[in-house]
Amino acid sequence: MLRTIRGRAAAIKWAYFDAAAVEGYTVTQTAGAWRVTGALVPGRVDAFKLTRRPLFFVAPFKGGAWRWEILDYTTNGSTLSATLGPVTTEGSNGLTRATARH
Amino acid sequence: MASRVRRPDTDVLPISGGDTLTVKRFLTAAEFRELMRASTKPIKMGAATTGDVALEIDPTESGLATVVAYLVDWTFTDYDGRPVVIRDQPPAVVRAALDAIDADSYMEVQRAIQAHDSAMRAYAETEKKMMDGSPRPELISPFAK
Repeated sequence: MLRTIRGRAAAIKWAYFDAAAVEGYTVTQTAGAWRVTGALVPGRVDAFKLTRRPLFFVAPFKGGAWRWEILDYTTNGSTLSATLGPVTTEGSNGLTRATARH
Repeated sequence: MASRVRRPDTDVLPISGGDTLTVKRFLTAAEFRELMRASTKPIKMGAATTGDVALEIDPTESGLATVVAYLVDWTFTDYDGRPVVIRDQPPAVVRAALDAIDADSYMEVQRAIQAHDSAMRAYAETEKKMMDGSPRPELISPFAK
């Protein structure tokens, strides 16, 4: 089963830092495995923070955000392609819970 | 040699009413530069034609800049009990939220974060003196849980 989430703005986070801003992203789940592709926003990519671990792909929605750990990623400097771990959902109160979309 | 890159840890500072502030343990060089930039205003020195400029600390902006630099999250809610969300928000949103809380609450936030900042600077100074390999000092933030 294929699931797809598309959005305009997301971020790659290292702890509380933004390691990179991502726009025009597409997250897909195929046979349980999550992947994301998107464009890195010029001027909002921190090359050092992208070398840190763990990194998370965080996609906000109204009242919360989806969060995946980035297991592996490739970039050519302007686009991002990454494999992701299980998704969790953050509410606006900052609490994180596992999502049934695992 | 000790690492010059710190792990981005946070501390939780309890304040009155059961609320807490989540703050960065230390600032990075970029965050410190931004704090300095936001805390100062340029003033012209001497005749206007010389173009000499000095920087003057603005105490009001300095306090706010310190709060914005360190604050990651809080437990504050509005009058309907809905969370006032600041986590992962841009600095302009955090500043707007700080502007919206009452003055006493703001001063309590600022005092707690300035005390944390002082404690972490003192810790860093002590740590620097111990770079010869002696045991590291205990973290001494007066409020951190």
